[in-house]
Amino acid sequence: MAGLDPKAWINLGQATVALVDGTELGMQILKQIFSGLGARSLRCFGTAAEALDFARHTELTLIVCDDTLPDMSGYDFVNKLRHAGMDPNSFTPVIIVSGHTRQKQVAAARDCGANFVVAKPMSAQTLLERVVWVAKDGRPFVEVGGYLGPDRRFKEVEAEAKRGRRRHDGRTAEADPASQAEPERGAA
Amino acid sequence: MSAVVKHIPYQNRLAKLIRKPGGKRIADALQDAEANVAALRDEGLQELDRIIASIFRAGRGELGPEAVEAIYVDANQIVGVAGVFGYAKVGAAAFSLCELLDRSDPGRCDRMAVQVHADTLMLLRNEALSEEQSQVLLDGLKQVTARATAAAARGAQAPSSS
Repeated sequence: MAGLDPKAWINLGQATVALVDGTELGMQILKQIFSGLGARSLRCFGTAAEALDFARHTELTLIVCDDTLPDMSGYDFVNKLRHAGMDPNSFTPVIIVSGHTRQKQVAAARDCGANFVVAKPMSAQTLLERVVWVAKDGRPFVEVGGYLGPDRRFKEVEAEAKRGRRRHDGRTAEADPASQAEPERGAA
Repeated sequence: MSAVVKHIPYQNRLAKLIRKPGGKRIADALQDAEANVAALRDEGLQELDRIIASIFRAGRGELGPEAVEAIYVDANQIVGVAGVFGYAKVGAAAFSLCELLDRSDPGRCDRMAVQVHADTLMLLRNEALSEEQSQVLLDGLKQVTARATAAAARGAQAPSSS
């Protein structure tokens, strides 16, 4: 359990988590992981359009989506969400899970506004580490040019200085040290 | 000219909820999640076999742009699921196939290179290979992909230089 203290507590019981995956097995894996982690309100969508439609009327705490969806890429989905003007859901933390990234999508992965891109195959531990990281993500949201999402420059400076080197902005990072990744129970 | 940066205040609700009293100890949460995923193993391996068989068949058919895209989607799905159920090497072979297809001209995909990947997926999934044997196969795939994509790049440059 490299980045997390096994004795620490985590509460996803009151979070509304949207899972977006176009494949049945991929969705099952996500559901079972988040269910095991304690999330009770899981909203599952097979397409980006369904997820966007739902986000218009229900507040979401976290979104986890596949990078390949039947109607658009996961990167385009996040970009649409960020620019949809849906407060608060346009600012909801998003974790993208990605298998192989096409060459033509590398820039989209960087610029879509996701909080994190996690490389597949995913494990419960990796996902939980990223969820905790995203929860502690103190980066401000910025709009610059066509980009709307967590401040990427802030991440470069802060994340690298305090938490060690990351692969590159918007991509899966090395796990945070346990002391920083672990939430404190009842500290809200 | 520097771009205008607009800072937008927002509240990270996840940060608040995750720290509320209650929930699970992280060790228990991970144990539960892993047990849940393990319960999907039979279903997951069946699906893995179905996808590998689909790639195997498609690799021996007409490799037009639509077929290449379908193989890519299948291979990318394997990247996502094989490692979850203990077949990381299968996932690595599928990743190599994705690289091959992504870097190839869809209309001129190297059939032999695709078939070698399909055969290797079958072997890695079905045969009790040692770690060393598996690694030799994966190293071979890397070379196949490197050669095929280099050839594709040369082919892509050829028309513009003529």
